[in-house]
Amino acid sequence: MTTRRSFLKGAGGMAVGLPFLPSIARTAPAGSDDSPQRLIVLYQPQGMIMEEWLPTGTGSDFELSPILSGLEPIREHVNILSGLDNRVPMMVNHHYGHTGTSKAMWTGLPMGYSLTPEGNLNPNAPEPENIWEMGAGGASVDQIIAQRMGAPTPYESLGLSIGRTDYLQTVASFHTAREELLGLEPDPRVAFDRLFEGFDPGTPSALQRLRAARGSVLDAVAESYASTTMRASAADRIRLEAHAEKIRELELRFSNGAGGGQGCALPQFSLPGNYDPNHSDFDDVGAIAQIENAVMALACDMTRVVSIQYTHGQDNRFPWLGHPFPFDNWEGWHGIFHIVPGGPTGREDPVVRAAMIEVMQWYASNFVHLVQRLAETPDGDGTMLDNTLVVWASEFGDGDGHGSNNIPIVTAGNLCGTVETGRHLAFEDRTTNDLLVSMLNAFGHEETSFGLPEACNGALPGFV
Amino acid sequence: MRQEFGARVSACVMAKRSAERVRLCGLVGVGLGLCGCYSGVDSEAAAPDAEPTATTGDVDETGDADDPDAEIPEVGCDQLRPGRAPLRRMSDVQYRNTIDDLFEGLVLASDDFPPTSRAFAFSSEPAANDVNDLAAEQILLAAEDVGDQVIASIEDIAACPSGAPTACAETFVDAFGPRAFRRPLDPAQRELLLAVFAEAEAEDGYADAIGRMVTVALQMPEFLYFIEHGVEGDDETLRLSDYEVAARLSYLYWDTMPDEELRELAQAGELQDPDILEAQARRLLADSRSAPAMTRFYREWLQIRQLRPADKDAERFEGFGPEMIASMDTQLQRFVSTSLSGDDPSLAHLLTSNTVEVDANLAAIYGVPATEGWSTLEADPEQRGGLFTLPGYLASHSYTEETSAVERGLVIRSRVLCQDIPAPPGDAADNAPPLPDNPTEADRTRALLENPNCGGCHILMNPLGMSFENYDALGAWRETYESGEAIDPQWVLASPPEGLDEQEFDGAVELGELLAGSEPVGACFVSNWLHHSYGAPAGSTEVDQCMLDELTQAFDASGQDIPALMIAMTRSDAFRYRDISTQED
Repeated sequence: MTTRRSFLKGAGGMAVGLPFLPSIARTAPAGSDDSPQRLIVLYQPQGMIMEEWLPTGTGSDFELSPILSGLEPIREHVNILSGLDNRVPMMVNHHYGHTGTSKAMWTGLPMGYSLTPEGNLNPNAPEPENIWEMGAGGASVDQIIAQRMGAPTPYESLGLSIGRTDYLQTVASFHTAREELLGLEPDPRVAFDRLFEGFDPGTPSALQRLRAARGSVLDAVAESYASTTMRASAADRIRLEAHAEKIRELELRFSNGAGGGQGCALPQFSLPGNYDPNHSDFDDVGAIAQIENAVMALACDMTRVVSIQYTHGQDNRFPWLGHPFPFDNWEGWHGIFHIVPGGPTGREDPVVRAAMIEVMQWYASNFVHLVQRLAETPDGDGTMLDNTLVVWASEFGDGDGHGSNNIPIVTAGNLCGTVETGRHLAFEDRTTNDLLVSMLNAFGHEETSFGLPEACNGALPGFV
Repeated sequence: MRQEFGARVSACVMAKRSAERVRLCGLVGVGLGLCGCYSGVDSEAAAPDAEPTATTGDVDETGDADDPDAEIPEVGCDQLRPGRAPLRRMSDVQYRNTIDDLFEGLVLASDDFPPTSRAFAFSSEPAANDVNDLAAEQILLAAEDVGDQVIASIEDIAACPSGAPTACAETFVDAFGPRAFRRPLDPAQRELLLAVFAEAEAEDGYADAIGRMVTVALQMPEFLYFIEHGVEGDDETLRLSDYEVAARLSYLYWDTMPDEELRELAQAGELQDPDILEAQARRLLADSRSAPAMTRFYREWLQIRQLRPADKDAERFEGFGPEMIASMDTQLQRFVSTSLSGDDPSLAHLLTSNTVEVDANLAAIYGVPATEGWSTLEADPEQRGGLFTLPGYLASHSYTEETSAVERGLVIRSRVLCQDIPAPPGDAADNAPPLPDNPTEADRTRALLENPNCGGCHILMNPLGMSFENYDALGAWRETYESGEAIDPQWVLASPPEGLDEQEFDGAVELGELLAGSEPVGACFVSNWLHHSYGAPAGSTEVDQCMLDELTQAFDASGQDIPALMIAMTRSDAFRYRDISTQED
């Protein structure tokens, strides 16, 4: 059974870089300062070694920790938020480990539990049964922000993953709705193809002519769904209508053109010939490529919200760091995280610990790279970084015991002057739900609570 | 249920024969309470618990006694038994096969098609093929990719020698439509496709217009979904059309669209006759095209994930790479098809046979000289017996260097015995027991079983998994660990389902023999097969339970003959009648 990748025709190493076709892009008014707000959420499963992450000192007078030392060049653009608990999973009978915690991180809601009509915990709610089928508690904050923007961009939001997605449900966090995961594209080449194929100039190929006709193609498809749905039984109709809704959204999306700000260009990245997006051994190059896709998707106004998730973090080996992961442990990267008291491995072992810190520094380096790329990309009167909020976080603090206290959170960008940066904001007894409120506030929404009310105290003082 | 299970455990015999482990039993009782470990037979495998009367032709009135709201259904065990089958979308594998067949190899399936999630019990489940924003776009991209290829190969796919584009388009759509949609082309659909053609033809010419029409067709529900509108019925029950039955047959047994013979039978209205259905099922099963589809069932049932080169430590397992993985996959497929087509196509045979095929890539694992091509090997019956002892199975249920008693045990417990084990509690890791330096799997298991927080659940997994310790992470036989410690594969099956005794067994070969032919394993197999076939757990309604019970009984009566089960299912009402009364899938 042969398949083909329409995008990648050649074998071997590849550098993507096609001439940009300006005629397709809407050009933003030059020199205007009415650039739109953008959001990038960067989510990394498994947590941190928090004592190696936490900066010393607060306010603008802080010293970066070993894990965050690489942030020095961008420190004036970032905020480090400490002392926030991802409290929701700890408030229900069963927090479902990685799954429940990751879903709570950006939704602020417990997974699978039915709440009272007021949205509070329901002590009489039955225990959820199949955790794989119960979805999150609701939509995640990134998706709510994207939905409310209603931006005239081809993509309401863009989901990317760094690494494989086949088992991603286990730690999937971004949800467009309670029952619906945000789709995450693991392959930077495919993401590029989806975003930028139409920018290829010259005599249009048959494929480009087909794509140019998407409006009428999707129109016909939508019509066929309507007539098939009419004949379907009630249960079938639900599924068919859900699909038809996606077709209509696609139609709308493609009727929106991309807009090119000054910084808009085709993403440039190169990947090795044996690159496999479904293997975490390639996550180093995959991360850089996906960051490039994300920055250019925003610069070209293909979307205004990008949600990026690192792979599920089970079997990662980080070969580019040169450590013999997974050492001799219970299992992979995930297992290393689960400390085994008295055992020979886990973070108690100095060698393993040093290697783990290097991994976390690698995560940090990608964040720095992303921020720097935004800062290099002109937008309006300034740079993309001026108009963007980047939030980098994990669902756990110390991931060893599924502990979701003290979540590591770093933000970057001042979002058109909304967020003052260059600070370590040390909170006490506050929650990630509070952060989600602050994120909504930063984007102009006036919520005072988000997610489970019991886990929320309102916006974080001083963030916005 | 909890109480009953607790009683069973507290009465348990030693989990291990050696005296030092006597105390495990006491601890298990404690651990059970502490970690809340519960294990009952789950709902989809309720058959062994069912009252025998429920499996007979009589409506089981007494079975409703404890449920005052229950009504005796109009349809019951002695009447029509439609099956619950949610609307399913084509999986990634089925999509590739279908494109291959639909365009007779002239077009390559697109990589862009959304991948089927592997996080569900079976890839046939609707949720595994859910359509979110990304998937809808991937379906579009895949359809465009195929459309593009059709344009490039227009002379081979839809030549138009007459030079009359509309007539040629009509000829094409009348041939292509019924095959793509697996049913006669509805006049409205035909009109829709021809309108797409006409618009595109005016803009970009004939070839582009055919391509655009294909791009539309491949996103239509009749192509992507196994639409089962039925031909007659009411709000609760539908009788499937012959075309819908043909699609069920071919996607179940071949993972692809119906072939010419099935299409002709459907057209002739022959596919409501159980004898003809049986003959067709037998024909499809006898064809080599069934091998990958059948193997996929076994892979999904037993959670045999697709290995990748980086899954094993390169230094420790030098020979492991793409070639060995391909050989493991091929061996598994050959083992399954040989077993199903041989003299004894029983589940017992599948779980015990020591006849395998090996090639040069697998020779070292079996300790035999490498020869060219594939050859049949009667493996040492002390060391190998059944599917669970195939390297592809064992390597998949292991880590990069080490084996995993938990994973190897869990798959037997949950998928072969149909006994659920809850996920570890949130604080499991906080209470993880201490381990010695360089622990072996035996050390880990001992630590878990002796720890009151862990033992209650882990006794259900680790002893089963430990019986596989004679196979390393690649599936090669070993008798000692690297440390020199001897491997002890003798364990006790604790808390078995009804119909199996708590008993000692010596290694995976004996475990296979113990499971082979047993009632609960047979019932579990039937429920898994039905789950795979219909994309939903079987037995969720009373009527469905009748079907499950009847098939389970038939399966046992046949000596757990696997093709007999498939045939019986194909002949059953549920294969031709669909229960559409339940809204929830």
